[in-house]
Amino acid sequence: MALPASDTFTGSFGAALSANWTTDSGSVLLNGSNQATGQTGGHSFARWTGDVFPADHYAECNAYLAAFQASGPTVRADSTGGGQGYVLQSYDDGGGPAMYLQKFSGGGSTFTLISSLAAGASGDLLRIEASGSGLTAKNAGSTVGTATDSTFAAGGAGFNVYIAASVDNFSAGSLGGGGAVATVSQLMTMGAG
Amino acid sequence: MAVRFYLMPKVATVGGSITTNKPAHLAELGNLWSGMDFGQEPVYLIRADVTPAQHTALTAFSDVIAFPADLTTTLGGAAAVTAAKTKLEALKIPADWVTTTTTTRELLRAVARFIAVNQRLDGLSRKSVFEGAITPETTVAQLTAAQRTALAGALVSFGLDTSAVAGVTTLRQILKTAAASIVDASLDAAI
Repeated sequence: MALPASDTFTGSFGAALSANWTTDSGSVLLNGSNQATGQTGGHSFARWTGDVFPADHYAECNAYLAAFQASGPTVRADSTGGGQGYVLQSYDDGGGPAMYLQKFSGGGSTFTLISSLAAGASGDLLRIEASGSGLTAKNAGSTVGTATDSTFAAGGAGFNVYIAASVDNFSAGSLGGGGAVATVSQLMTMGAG
Repeated sequence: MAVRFYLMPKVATVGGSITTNKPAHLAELGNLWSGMDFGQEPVYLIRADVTPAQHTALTAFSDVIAFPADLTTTLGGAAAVTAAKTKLEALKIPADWVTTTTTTRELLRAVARFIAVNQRLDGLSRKSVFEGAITPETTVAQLTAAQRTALAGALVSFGLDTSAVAGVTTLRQILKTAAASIVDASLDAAI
């Protein structure tokens, strides 16, 4: 395979994700309507492992959800501790939609808010970009938020679904060029303290 | 509306089997904010576009440190510098380098880099620079082998050369040197 990666999740109801995917936590199956859907009572994180991603990459997908569900694309994700990385998550706690840029760890047992963003709607095309320490959140091509975080420097792209939320039209790839964080070559001179 | 920076506590809420870490005063921040949590330390550096009313509400909290909206301003006189040092050091953020000519932007960019190091340590090893009884005055020799390895890993991941670090080097020295060495265009664009 070669980047960019893409998947329209075409397949029969109950079919597994293709061999390009690794599910780091939870369970995800196709729902027969060209979507990938969560199959547990908690968070499921799936990661595209058919390609190796450079440090600076993006992921996007349509995020579908109902009340008490969440979904969205992930970047710099890996399998550590059951799954960790960054997620742009459309979320509905039963009181209406919300959107958050977050870190996740422990396979979705822990989240740390990085930014609260203007709420979207079910089915929105969400995109998250990681470049150096910079994170950019987009909805339908428009930037809806930016932030900086240095927790995760590498990993791959994927998606998150909470309970029975779904995603569709996944794509991910390199952002190209150098990251926002330049490599530092200067020697640390400890006497400068 | 004005973009302002705040330091405030990080709190954890538990819903079922999910823990969510968030700024302590989320309601007052509104929706136009982004934040860097201090790794495993209970602190957030917040960048928020707030109304005067929101700013007033946030500064009413005794656990919020608010910075001037004009980042080019210096901290002011000796009393202001002492106050800033005291508040930052209480959060384990090295501040002995701050002077009366330090601008708010210089201060915030350094703080963000201290935070970045601890974030990376968290991401790589689920540790904090200041775990347990460790303070900025703790030396490298006083760390466990696992703590030294984890810290070195975080520093190297930023492209830093740690060969000059010795057993007598304090964490304060390491963090200050790292903050001075890390090149981060995204951070500098945000602050």
